[in-house]
Amino acid sequence: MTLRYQEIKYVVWAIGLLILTYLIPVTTDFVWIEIVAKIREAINSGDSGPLIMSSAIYSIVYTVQNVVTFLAVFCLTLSFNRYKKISFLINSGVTLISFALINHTINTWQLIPWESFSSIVSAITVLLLIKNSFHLNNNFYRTVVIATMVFFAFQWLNMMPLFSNGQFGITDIPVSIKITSQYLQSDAVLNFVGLAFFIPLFLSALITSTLFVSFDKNIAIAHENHAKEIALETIRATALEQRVYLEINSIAHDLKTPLVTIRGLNSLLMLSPDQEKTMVYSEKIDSAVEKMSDMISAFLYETSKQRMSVSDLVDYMRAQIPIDDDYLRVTTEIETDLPEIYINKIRVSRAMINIVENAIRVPSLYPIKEVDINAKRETGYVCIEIIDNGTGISSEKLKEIWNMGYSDYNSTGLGLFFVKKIIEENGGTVTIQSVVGTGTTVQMRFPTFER
Amino acid sequence: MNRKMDLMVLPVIIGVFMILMFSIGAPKRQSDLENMPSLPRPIAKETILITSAGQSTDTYIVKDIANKLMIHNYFMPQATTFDLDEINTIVFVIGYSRMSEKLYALDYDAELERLENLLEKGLQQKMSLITVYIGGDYRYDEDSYALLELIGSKSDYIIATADESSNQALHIISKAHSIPLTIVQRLTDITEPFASAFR
Repeated sequence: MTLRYQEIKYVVWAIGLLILTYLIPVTTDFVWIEIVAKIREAINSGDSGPLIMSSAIYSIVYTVQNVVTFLAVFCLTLSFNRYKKISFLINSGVTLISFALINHTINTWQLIPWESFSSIVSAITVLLLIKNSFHLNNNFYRTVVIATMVFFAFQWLNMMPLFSNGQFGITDIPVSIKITSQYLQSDAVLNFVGLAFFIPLFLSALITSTLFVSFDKNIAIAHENHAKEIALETIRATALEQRVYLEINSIAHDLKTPLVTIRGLNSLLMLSPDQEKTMVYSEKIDSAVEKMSDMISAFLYETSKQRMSVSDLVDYMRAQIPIDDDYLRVTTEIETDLPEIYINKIRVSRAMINIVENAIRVPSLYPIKEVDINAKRETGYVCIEIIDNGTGISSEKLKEIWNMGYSDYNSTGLGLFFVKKIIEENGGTVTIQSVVGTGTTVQMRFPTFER
Repeated sequence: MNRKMDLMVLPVIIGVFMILMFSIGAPKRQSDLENMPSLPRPIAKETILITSAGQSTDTYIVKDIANKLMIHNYFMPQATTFDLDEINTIVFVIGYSRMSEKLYALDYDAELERLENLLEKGLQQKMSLITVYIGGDYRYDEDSYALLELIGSKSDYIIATADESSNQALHIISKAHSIPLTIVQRLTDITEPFASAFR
């Protein structure tokens, strides 16, 4: 549908421009009279100024006429090209032949002299300069810019007595201008003015076309990068979804512990005739239910925080990690009299579990895998360290580990992105240092409750 | 992509400069035809009528030269036989301009007819006829040649600027009709032979 719209658009443009092509000679008689008047003024006054003015006026009219004709033909070939892809060479050939034919008919019909050589050379130059963007959708406006510069540049060569022996400037007006310039001994002035226009305009056209090509290249790269970014985001989102799902499974598993307690005690209740014991069991059931309720609240509400000791946190966290490997040694060292911290127990413990699980999972160069969990006091903070003797993380990977979706060793945890997020939500910070072949140290710092 | 661009830009630059080099080409060849630098004695009298044969702007240049030489003249690019009163010499400035044909709504055949009438009346009244052709090879086409042949062959004196093709034709006309011919190298040199026709 879009393709059809483009075709129609270019055909409409082509028809409009063709009408304009034939209208320009009909409506510009006053310009030619003005040019002749300027030439006469130059002869009468002996001043080359009016001669340069007449050259400029002629150049503008010539440029407008040729650019409009060229674009009319170009639009037709563009629309055809969109209908059926054809090679640039054939397109160019058709464009040049049509351009020459239209100019010839205008020349015959309206007696407007046509500088065939400079026009054809200009048209070929324009086609070469737009070659790389020929099949792009937005090349029409680029062609307008380049064609205007090129046709205007080459037109000035028609005015230069320097090129009198060639095919430039062989029609009536340029010839009159050059003969007058010879009479006024202004050949050097006209040559200079011609070059002063030609060189910068021609170079501008070259540079502009180069910039257009570079721009296309950059846009293509940007689109490619954008597509890659979207693909990467999709992969990350999928991975994240999977991790969240696994984490929920893990939490649900944690919730089963107090449920088992409730079920066990309840069965005892059913067997016990002793009222006193029944009361004790009931209180324990109540405690377990409350515990479960706290866990669910902590899981559901990020702001649900509580004051607790570091040793309780570490014990709670350790209770969630199954350690039944002969080649794994997990040690805990907690300084005595550590101040309390104020955190969301469930979420922070999940974050710590994630780090410990990573430490356990990572391969080690040593026969026994050691994971040390240390807690120590720092000014205003409590620092919890998890140190492993694994293979370590390279400095390149260290830059990426905090990114969302980053994963290594097929980890199923929430990832360090969420670890960091949870710790920061609880007022803490997390850093990681690693030496390849030696091990990794993760440090989490939480402000003390007093702070 | 960049390499492709370089490969494309280079031929454009080379092509353009080759075209320019060929266009500059060799300098104008000096005519080897015999010609006199100016007339040994005047052949024409004032007052003169300067008219155009082909309506090119070259006529204005000849008028300017005549004015600078203080030669009493009437400047009528489209003069007719009715404008020949008190005229002793007609100066035809040859150079056919298609643009003028368009601008002044003229017709080539009508222009030929006007010139033939002028020639006829000028010859009848024994006026001096001078042909000036300063268009060189620029204006040397079929139409201008026809005008040169028509007027040049009946003139008393032909002055032209040096150029290969047009000079050959002028030489043939000059020789065939025994008409003095002066060919000048530069347009500004035309003043001397033009003055020699009158003084």
